[in-house]
Amino acid sequence: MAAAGETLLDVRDLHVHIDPERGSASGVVRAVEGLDLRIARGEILGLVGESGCGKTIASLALMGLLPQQRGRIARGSIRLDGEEWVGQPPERWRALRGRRVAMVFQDPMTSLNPYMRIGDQLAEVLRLRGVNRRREVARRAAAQLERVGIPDARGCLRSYTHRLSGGMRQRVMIAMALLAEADLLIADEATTALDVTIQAQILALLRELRDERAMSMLLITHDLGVVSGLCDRVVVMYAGRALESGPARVLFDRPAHPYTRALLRATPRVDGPTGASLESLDGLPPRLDGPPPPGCRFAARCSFVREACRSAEPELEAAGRGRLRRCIAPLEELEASAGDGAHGASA
Amino acid sequence: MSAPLLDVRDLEVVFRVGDERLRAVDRVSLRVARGETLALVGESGCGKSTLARAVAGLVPIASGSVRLADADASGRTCELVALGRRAWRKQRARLQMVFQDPDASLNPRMTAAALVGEPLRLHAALRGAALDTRVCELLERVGLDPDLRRRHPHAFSGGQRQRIAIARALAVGPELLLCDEVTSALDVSIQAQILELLRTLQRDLGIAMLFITHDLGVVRHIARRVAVMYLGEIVETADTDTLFDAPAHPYTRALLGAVPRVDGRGEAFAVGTRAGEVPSPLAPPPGCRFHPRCPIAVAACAVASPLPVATRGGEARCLRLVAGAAPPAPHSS
Repeated sequence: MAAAGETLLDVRDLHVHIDPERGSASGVVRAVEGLDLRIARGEILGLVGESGCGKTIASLALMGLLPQQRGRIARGSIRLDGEEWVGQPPERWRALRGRRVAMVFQDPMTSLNPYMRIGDQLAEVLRLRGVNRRREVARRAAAQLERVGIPDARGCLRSYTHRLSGGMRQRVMIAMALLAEADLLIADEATTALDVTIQAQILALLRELRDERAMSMLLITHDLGVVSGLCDRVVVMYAGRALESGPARVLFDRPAHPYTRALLRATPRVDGPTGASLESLDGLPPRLDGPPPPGCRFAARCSFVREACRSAEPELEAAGRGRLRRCIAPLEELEASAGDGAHGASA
Repeated sequence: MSAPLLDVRDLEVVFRVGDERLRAVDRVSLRVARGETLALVGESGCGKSTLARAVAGLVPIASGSVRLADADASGRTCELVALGRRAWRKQRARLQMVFQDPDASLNPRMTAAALVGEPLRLHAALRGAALDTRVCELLERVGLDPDLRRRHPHAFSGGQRQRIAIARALAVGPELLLCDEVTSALDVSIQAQILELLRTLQRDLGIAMLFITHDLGVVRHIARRVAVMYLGEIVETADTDTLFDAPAHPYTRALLGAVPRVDGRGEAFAVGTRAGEVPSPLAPPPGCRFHPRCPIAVAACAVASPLPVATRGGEARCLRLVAGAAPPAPHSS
């Protein structure tokens, strides 16, 4: 088992392809191309991007859930504590999901069983860990429900999912991760459907658990605010590619990629000024079901675009302050223009 | 001062849920001036969408008044509640609703041209070349290429479909747009496009907007005034700057504090409510509805329903507020 700070999850050069539906005219979708992710023990990594960028498909690949989406890992490596998972049989993945890696999705109704009492679902998790005695199961399950802030834990054990609010269902999912003593929690838009006051409670809970148990987390979200508030490092994806990564604070203060910068400037902010206009990105991302454009995938929408961007795709390269970026525009140019407009960095 | 374009007073909407009565909107009053944007914010189930639907005549009103100022600036107003069908149809074109999900509001079998043209045929009796010209104008106005007008909704992206829904709402020349979470399903880059479009339309056409959203960031970009709803009631109204910089009601403060901020500073959200869930609107708490979650509640809050108190930039319903004074700080516990 890795100690704090050591690499827990190491994903290298991950390529995920989605096969077309039978009889469909479209080609194979290259949903994720050449993704590297590294998560240390006790670290929270954010994976952000707009819909269709590949962030959810990447997370399904990490959990071995791709076949449900007609997806497959075309190439690459996924190591947890040094052990290779690509190529393992489905039963091994199932055990991994139950014990080492836990997940919380946007809609917990897709992962909780509506026909089973909460208590029975939690008991299944404990059984995987070899805890079978009824009283011990009930005691541990209730203790974890209390830990995640469910007021009437005993009552909750006896209820069915539909009796619980969205926030409570997410707490149950987090309690399951705790019971499994998972090393890695993958949260895919886990607070997106929640009201903002409830979201704040769940985010605070996740942060406490990280601090308390050095649990590692992969947070997949489109909400830059959530990432900024919770994550240590961030990877920004666009059209199947990671375009930038780095420490959260640096990335949001001084984005090194025009896409990150554009996302930040398109995000409405409560800290004003009132009535400021938002920068809108014209156009749409390229389609992924055919040969990709020869150059940078963001070139068609980029305001820093130059001739070379359209012919060759840049590599992911170091850009200082712990950042990596896939861009050839001079950093000074990006940073010089960061101060103008309502959404410039405050630095 | 001339009458506001929309003047809603003591509006009540009650649904029957089994044997129980759900007061989704409870004696709410609000006004929207001509050309103004009022944002209506709150969390799910607070009644904000129901309020807009009631104004649009889509859900029955139990009691109260909805008045629309006459277009001729005569100062006369028209009461929309209990208006006969024919009279309502005449007023109907003056307020139009745009919804969150264009897929649910746009008929997938109709082309963009037919969708935008339908209200023109019904309300303006346009036909043939005149109709087609007007459809093209409207599509251009919302930033769509008129050459694509023979396509069906599925051939457009989510943001483009929302543009079609907006063009359709604009077709009859409304004075008020009721926008219900119109950008909530869109990616931020597309959301920014739609928000900028709405601002441009408002500036060019002088349309007033009642903008319903749960996203406070969006509010700050689009609205001049804000009303905050909680469990069927408006708890605070203020101009946008005041609401964001000096919120008076403890619920508004909790809501603002909870928004994760993109400032690269970490520690970007606060839990401003006491633990627990939003109570069921079927059984709202007595007294102030926020008191079970309120960090500054006192015993009296559980008893008396607070009356509006004048604040710096508007009014708020909280017993702990004293007119003109700063709001009390949370208990230090």
